[in-house]
Amino acid sequence: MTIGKKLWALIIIKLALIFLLLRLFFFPNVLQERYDTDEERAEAVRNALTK
Amino acid sequence: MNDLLGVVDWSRAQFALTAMYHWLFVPLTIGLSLIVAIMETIYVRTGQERWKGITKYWMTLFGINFACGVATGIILEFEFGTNWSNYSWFVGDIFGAPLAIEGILAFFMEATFIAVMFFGWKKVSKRFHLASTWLTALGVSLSALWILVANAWMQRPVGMEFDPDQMRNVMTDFWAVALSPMAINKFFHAVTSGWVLAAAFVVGVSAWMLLKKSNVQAAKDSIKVATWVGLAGIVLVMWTGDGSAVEVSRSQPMKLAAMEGLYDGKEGQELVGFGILNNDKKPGDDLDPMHFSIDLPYGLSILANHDAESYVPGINDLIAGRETNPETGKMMQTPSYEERILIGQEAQQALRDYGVAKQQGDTAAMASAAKTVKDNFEYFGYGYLDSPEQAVPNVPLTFYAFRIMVMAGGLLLLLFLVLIAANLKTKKLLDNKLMLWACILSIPLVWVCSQSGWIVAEAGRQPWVIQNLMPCNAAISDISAGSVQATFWVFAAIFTGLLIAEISIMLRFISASAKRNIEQSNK
Repeated sequence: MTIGKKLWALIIIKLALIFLLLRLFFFPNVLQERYDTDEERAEAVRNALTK
Repeated sequence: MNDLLGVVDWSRAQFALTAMYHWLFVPLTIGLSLIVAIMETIYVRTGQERWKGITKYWMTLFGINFACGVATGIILEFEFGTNWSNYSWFVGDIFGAPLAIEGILAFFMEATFIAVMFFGWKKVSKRFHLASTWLTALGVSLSALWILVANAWMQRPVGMEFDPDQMRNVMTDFWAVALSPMAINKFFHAVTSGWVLAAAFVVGVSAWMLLKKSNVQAAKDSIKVATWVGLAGIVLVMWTGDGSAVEVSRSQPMKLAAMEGLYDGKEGQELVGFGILNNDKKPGDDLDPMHFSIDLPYGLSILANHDAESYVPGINDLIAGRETNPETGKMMQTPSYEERILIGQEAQQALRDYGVAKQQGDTAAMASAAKTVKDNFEYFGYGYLDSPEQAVPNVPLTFYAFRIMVMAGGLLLLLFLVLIAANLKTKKLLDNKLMLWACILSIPLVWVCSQSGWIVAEAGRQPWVIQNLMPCNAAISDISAGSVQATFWVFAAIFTGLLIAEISIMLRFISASAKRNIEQSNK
């Protein structure tokens, strides 16, 4: 395997791990997932920051 | 509360792990892109094919590092949304704008010209190829600019106004954010530190070739180029480091006090050249902060304010509200940390009242609460502290990391000066095994130096995620510590795998190069 092929393989495996595994299953955007509108998100943050 | 602390600690550990691994790759990309561009310029100007071979050799090592490092920074952005959602919302478009610009530059400028750089040798003219290599180097540095602008804003928030309705900061002056002295200093300090790191890498690998008596002339030529880049880099690092010290003394005096293990400051404050901290020392007690120290008279006053007689506050002074007047260099009284906590709590109460008034549609009460928030916003984050001592960072970590950075930097300066002398006068120095081993050992040393610098910058600003406005414990998401722990170990495994892959591919490539002539560009 040439060094170029090794590096392409490494890049593809890494990007797949980052975007298909980590992003989808481990790193949800908490506010985006839990609330539908920006107003709700703002209120959630207000409650969190002023409790 | 215990779970919350667990989430904060694990999220901080995860962010630190990701950032530190990311910073293993980035400075080499920044610095090696410059060195490769200079080597290719020599090739184009002299027309000597051997320089093409040398350029392609280092370009391959650049490519290995780039392939391993690319996109590792994206994970930091994932962490913002998952672990630090309050923070992400609170910073609003201020963080988003520089990161968006970084994304555009990284993906379009770098990706375009890096492709020409690697695959265009036989497809474009010499000069177009050279331009692509320089534009890659420029693109790498420019994309670093925007993430450093975002980081600098966290250390010194400027150019924004907090909107209690949206619960986020709104950018009011883009140029104040982009051109803040903190951002400019941080950018040049970080980029030139990348030059130093890559120079030490090239010097070290070349020294290994000299030890193996392989590619001797190419190795010596590489050392010559890298040495000048390294020397220029380290001088600029020292110059911008001096600028950073002034910025830190004005915007983050607690960090400076922690860097020095200084509890009670004075006018004409000495600098601790070398010292051993008393780890039992706490703010407000009578213990001596140092077991042993060698001090440089007036050093800290000069470093912090460029004025030998100026006042530098210690940790106890800062807690009592004593800071340096930037105009006069004398002591000035500001609200004590006890008072700041009360001010912060008042701002938070007003923010809560704003929300209630908004629900009730009481516009007069909303306006009144908004004014209270605005008037007290400067110390908003102090309202989350239970005691003034919580505003003190980890002193030993900051103190020793600073000294490791400075001492390693000093050794690297010495190495580059000796190598310059070797180039100019005593060429036999590069035949000395001890000298060659010193060059090889500069590779781990420069990474330790670089990582220590970031530890000073980031651990030294704790507990703040945004200076004075938001501590880490307020920035965190409402998630379980267990989930953060799990992803911490997943990251540790992935990044360690990447690092092993990078090192093993590099070592094999370098090892194989000892058996061939790297000056032959068609290989």
